[in-house]
Amino acid sequence: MTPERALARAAAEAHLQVLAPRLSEWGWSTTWIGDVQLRVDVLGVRADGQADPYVVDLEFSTYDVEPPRVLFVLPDPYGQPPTSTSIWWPRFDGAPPFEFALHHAYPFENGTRPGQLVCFSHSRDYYYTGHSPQPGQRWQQGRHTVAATLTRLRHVLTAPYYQGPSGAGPL
Amino acid sequence: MNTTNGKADDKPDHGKEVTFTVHDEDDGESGTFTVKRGSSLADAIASAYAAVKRTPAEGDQIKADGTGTPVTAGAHDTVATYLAHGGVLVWLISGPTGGATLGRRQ
Repeated sequence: MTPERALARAAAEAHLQVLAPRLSEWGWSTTWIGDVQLRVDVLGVRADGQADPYVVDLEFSTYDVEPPRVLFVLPDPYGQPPTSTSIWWPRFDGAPPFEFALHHAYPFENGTRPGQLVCFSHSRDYYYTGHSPQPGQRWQQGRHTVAATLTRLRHVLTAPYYQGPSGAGPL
Repeated sequence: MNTTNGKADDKPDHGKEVTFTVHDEDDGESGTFTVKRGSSLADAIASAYAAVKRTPAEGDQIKADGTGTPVTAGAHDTVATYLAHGGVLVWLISGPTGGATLGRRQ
């Protein structure tokens, strides 16, 4: 592991430790699957209380100068993007609790791909897709941590904005 | 319940204390604070910020956990009236979050 990645990993671990009691309270769990790659098993909670599992991949290579990259992924094969009709792709409706959008195929600035974009200012890809956050919204090292990323995900994965999986497909 | 200014502190339970939990959703820090039920809601909010060692800033939101309702939504004068109208004991503080609404490119 490079020194830069070791520092990023250490910062992420320290910040996750602070949030650990709340993650446990929500029924979420984390597993490091690479030097700076974290699997987060999360739950979406519908209005009737039913909980649906999702897998979020966080990549911390530039943390905490920048927020982690955030992706919804398949559990198997791990890391692949779900289709838009997958049980692993959440569906939202109505007004989000803050400025947020989930895009299945978004044109990135470098032009190499349209890819998944979990669009909010505590997600790294937000800063590479032509967005212009207001000063108070911009990620600030020392003020924001991965807790900002995960608490916002928890809010969007909760009814009334969260509706359930997009489909019944396994991929 | 009488919510009129000047009358609230006459309530016999307003000297009793109540303990809140507060979570800073920007850095994950948590804390607790204890105030008297007759305390002003503004004082309780100030105590919430102090509990997580945070300075109030423009654009901050302070909401009730579980409902997402701003703590200040009911414009209640005191902690007692806040609690009497369904207020909860766990608060969430967060700064503004940028993004985009569904279907809109920025």
